[in-house]
Amino acid sequence: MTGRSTRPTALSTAWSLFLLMIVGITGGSSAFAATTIKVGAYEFPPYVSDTGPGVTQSFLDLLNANQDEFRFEPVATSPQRRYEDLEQGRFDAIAFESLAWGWEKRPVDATRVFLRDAEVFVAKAGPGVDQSFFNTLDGKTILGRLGYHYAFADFNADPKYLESQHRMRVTVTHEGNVRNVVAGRAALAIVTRSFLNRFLKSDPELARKLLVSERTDQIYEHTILVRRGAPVSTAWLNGLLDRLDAAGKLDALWNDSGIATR
Amino acid sequence: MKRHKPRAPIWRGGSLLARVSATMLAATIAIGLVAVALSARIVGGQRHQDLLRRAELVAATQADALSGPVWELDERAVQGTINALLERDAAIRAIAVFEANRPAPLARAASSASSAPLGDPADQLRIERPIHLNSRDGRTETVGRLEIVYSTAEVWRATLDALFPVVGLLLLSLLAAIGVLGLTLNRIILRPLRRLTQLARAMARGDYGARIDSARGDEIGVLADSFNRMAETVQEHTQTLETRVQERTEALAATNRAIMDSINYAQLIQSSILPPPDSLDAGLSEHAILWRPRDVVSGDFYLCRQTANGFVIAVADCTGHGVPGAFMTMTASAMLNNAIDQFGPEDPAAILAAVDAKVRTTLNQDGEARTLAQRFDNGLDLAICHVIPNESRLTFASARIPLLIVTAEGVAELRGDRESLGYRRLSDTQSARFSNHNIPLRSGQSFFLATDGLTDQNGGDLGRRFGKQRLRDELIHSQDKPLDLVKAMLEHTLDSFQNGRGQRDDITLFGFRVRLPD
Repeated sequence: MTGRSTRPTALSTAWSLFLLMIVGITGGSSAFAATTIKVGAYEFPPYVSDTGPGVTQSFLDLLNANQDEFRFEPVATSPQRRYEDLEQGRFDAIAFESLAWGWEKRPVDATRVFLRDAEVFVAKAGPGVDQSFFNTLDGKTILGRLGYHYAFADFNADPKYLESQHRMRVTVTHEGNVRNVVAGRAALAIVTRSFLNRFLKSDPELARKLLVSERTDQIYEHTILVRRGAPVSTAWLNGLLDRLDAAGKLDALWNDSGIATR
Repeated sequence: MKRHKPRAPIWRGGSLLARVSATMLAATIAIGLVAVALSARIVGGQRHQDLLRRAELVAATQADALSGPVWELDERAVQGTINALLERDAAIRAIAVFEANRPAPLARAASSASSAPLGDPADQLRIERPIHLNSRDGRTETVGRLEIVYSTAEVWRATLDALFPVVGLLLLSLLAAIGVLGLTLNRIILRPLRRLTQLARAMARGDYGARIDSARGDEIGVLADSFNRMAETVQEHTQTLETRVQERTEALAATNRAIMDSINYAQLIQSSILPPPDSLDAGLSEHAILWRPRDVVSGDFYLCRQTANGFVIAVADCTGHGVPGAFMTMTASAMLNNAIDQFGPEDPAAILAAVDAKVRTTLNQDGEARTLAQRFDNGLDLAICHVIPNESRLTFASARIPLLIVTAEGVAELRGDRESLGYRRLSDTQSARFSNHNIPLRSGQSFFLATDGLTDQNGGDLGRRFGKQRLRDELIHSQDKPLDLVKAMLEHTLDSFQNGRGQRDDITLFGFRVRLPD
């Protein structure tokens, strides 16, 4: 009787283990699938540019290549709308950002600084125009980018404020701003130094017509801002950045992108 | 008094040109209004479609242009763009740009022309267009929405602008057509009509020789030919009539002359039965006779015959006047003389009765009339005075003619019997009975016998009868005047009273005064 009664029990146990194994395999595979992290990207050459591949895409590719837990995908936004887009969950994180750029009171956390860059002024080269030209901005018309936060303007990005207080005119094109300075339509333009380096390298003729300030308006301390409640955390990202930095992959990326500062 | 016929005016009730022009004007205006209304509907529909296409195109291009600024949330750029658009396109009343995820518009602008929120929706055209942004990876994302409100008032203005030249050309064409038509109508129709009217007026004045040139072959030419033929016919007929009238007039004049010769001769005959004036001088101290036939010959006559002891004076008024009356006077005179001869002058009443019977017998007026000829009823009034100076007596009998006796006391009227003589009576029992009136003669008496032609003559301002009272008034002062003067005064009074009026009847007045023995 025992044997008769034990045999069905053993079969039942084996069948249950088989099912558990199937479920375990299925559940295990879903647990290992990468979670998509949407990363906001707005026109911010050389990191994001409408005219060509940006550093951001390379940076996200680097992140994706060095881990399987998350899948980082760019989502287009604009400088003005990036705050609402993030708060409304259209993206989870945004790279090459700084808390000082209007994020202070928003539900975001920042990673450690993983890159430094700077904003410099350019003026039309000419007789008598030297670095002293950049000592004061008073009375000089300045071209900037709509939605950007500049240090000389106390990081106030309101176009009306910029225009009324700093004789500044904001546009949506960095290259246009540089060319307008050469054309004499404005005294100064303020641009990202890494962008300017790449841009002038591609157009040496234009470079000779410009005088680039040694004065920086602000030093970028690029971080990754993560929306609170997003699948990924700043700690996890910091760990990844540390690993990449330690492996020299970040410097390699900056070098490859032509924005290395060291 | 000649009365002027009213002249027919050449223009009566407006000219033909004015009426044709008015009719053409009214018809053209009516047709023009219908055409303009139809054109307005068609053009209005076309302009509405044009506006719709334009609005769609503007919305599409602006949506494309706004995609970048909307994506950038560049409110200033968006506002500048739609402000510029609003300024450039006067038909736009309002523009609003919405960001895809925001209910409030990113920017909006409204025309100052639309003080009301957006005016009547029926007069507006609302265009909505999504704003798409093409990303770098080729995807198209809807980043916003553009709303443009167009005013359709432009449609009406554009329709009016389009119709204005049409209406202008229509009016010019109308004026030109009326002008050309007026000139043509005047040359082709009105001028010949005026010429025809002038000729018709000339014909009305008796100028039948007027003609119009009729070289044309159209209706006016036919009318001119017809008018000329009518004028010829009228002229021929008029000449014929004038000739006939002249012939008839000459014939009538000849006849009239013959008749008048006959009547004048009859007047001589009639005059022969009247006593010559000097025949009365023997027995009468004075006498005067007013004898006025209405025509050449008279229906009145008077008689004065010497008798053995005096004379007879009679005055008669026969039926009718002129020739018929003269015939009656001849008959009655013969009858009277015959009766005086037969019965003597002593009984004038008997003489009247005899004349009555004789006339009725002679004229077959006894009993009831049986033939048409017998239906004529003729007779006479007759007064007879038998004057016997030696006896200072006058016997008077009369059928309807009174005897007026004028003395110093006044005018006395002695009426005769009220029966006339000779008229038809149905039986002898109805024969008239006349009475004699004896009047003693004394000095200062004047006697007058007058037929009713005198008192019945009308005249004066109101055309009333001369009347017995007026005759009495004329005679009452005659006592001391010669009878010739009395006659002259009476004639003058009568002429003044008639004042050019025609004489109605024969007038006879016989006045006499008797010479009494001393």
